[in-house]
Amino acid sequence: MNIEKTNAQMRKGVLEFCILLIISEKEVYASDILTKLKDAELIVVEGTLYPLLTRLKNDGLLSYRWEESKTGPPRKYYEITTDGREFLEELKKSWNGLVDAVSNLSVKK
Amino acid sequence: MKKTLTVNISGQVFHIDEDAYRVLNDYLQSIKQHFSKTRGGDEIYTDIEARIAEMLKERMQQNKEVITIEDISQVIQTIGDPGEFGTDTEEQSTTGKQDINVKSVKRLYRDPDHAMLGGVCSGLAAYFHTDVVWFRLGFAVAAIVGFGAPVLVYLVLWIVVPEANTLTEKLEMKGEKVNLSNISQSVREEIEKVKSKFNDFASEARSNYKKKSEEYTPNAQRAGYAIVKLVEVFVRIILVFIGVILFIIGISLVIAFLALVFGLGHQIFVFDTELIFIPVPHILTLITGQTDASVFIKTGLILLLGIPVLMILWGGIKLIFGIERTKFAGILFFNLWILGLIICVYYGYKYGKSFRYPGNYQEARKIEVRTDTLITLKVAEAEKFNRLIRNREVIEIEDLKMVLDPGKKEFFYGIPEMKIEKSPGHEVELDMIKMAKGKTGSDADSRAARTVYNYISDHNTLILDPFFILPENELWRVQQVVLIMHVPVGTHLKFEANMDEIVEDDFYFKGDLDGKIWVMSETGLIEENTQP
Repeated sequence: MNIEKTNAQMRKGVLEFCILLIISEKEVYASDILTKLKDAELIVVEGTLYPLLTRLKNDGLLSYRWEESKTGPPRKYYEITTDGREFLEELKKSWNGLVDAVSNLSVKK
Repeated sequence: MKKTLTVNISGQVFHIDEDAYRVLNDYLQSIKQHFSKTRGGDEIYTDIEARIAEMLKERMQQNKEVITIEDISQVIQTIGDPGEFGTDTEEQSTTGKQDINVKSVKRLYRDPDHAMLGGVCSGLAAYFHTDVVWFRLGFAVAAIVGFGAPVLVYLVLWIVVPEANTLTEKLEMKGEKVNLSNISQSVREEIEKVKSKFNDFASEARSNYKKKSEEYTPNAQRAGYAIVKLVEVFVRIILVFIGVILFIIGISLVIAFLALVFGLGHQIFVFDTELIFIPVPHILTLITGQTDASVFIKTGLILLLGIPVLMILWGGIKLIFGIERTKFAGILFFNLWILGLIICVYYGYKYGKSFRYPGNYQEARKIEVRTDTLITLKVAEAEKFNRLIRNREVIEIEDLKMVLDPGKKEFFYGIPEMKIEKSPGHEVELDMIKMAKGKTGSDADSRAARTVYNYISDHNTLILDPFFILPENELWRVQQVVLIMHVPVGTHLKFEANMDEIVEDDFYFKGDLDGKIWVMSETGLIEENTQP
């Protein structure tokens, strides 16, 4: 097994969770999310973000509004919806469950 | 210097280098294709495009005006390639097939970057990871062996197989995984290619033809492009064919030319056409004598005739191997040719003058023969004559009629011409008229008198020398000897071997004369019907 591959898969799994977490704090646009995800070394290439954002929006978890920019094209500012918040709460629960399970296993070892 | 395009990326205007544009366009196409089957794919594509515009805008703020290929490759590295974007579970279930396609599939494309014609062979080579030469060779050999049927196969493949335009397609063509490292490698290759192409273009910019085709091809429609390419290849084949023909003609002419000037051979064949061997050095010596002039004339002739011959040969070689025109050599050869022309015209005029006036010398002699019995006409025994006549080493160029005898110094021999006419009297007479040309009439007369010709009569037999000759060191001035034999009516004449070479052939068919008996009638010489 390739360690990098496993890491990538693990990150991929929690990526949606992290995106929702970032957006739930405040209204953001794609570049803000990218900066944070990159700092956290959760993504390697930026292209990964866009399909996820679109899907989350299509699933009704996110909404966005357009805002003009002085330096570039108009920006999409993303906001979490009520459905999104509920979904996020569910995710948080299962994440905490996962963390507990993993730490229990690690301790036993 | 580079060509710059103005593009609109996500509503923003950018100036972008042509090469950078191509790479960016390829990249965007590959993203579009990647998300083509994903729900909301268009939106994802638009978002990414906006992100690219944003990144480029940032880069442009650093006092830069034009987007370069380095900017683009930086952008591509940041965004990543579609294969790396990763797909979550939902996408995998709906677009699983596509995912597999992107990762592993190998497709047959036509490769426009390494194409000779339509890129079919280069595409096949990329597909099978072999050298394109084998496919081209295979097609060429098959086309010859298979009576052109593979040409049809080629055309069908050309139409059916799509061209690899985007980076993704180009990678699929080689069956490589579409991921970032491959894409960036391709981008690097692209940069190299554009660079080298630019260099090529710069070096070939002088050649109008290349320039035109270079400008034309990118805009050409696919069908138009194919036809242009086909015509180009056709023209190339025809040019090479012409080159081979020119080469063969050139070689033949060079051999003929060498023979002409240096006397190396006798008969030269060019495409079944016999060129008569003309011993130029000998003729020159005959006309000019042993002087330095002959050296000059020879040089002049070599230049005048040799240069066009060499040009034909060189032209053939150039066409076969596609060698560029060499200006310097052309000018040099042209000047040398003009020099040769001047020399030849000068000497032609100089020696032409000594052929201006005709002159002659006559002597009439009574032949002591009895007319009531058979008179025999024969050619003096001359082994050489027989041999020469048999081997046809006889040169006739208008009045320059001669038999060659390379072994002997005075090699010019003329063959006398004999006419047999009705005599009003009862005796046989022989007029000998020697003719020549010269600078003046008297010069010509005295020259004519110096020609040597002999005959003897013995026991009712007239024995004629086979040739007249010129004395040693006498120059050739169209010397001729005409014999006119006056014979009374009723006289019988018997012609022995070789007489037909001398007697004028107005009244007999060649070959009918030897060994036959003819009789002089009121209307002229007729063949005796009843053999004695």
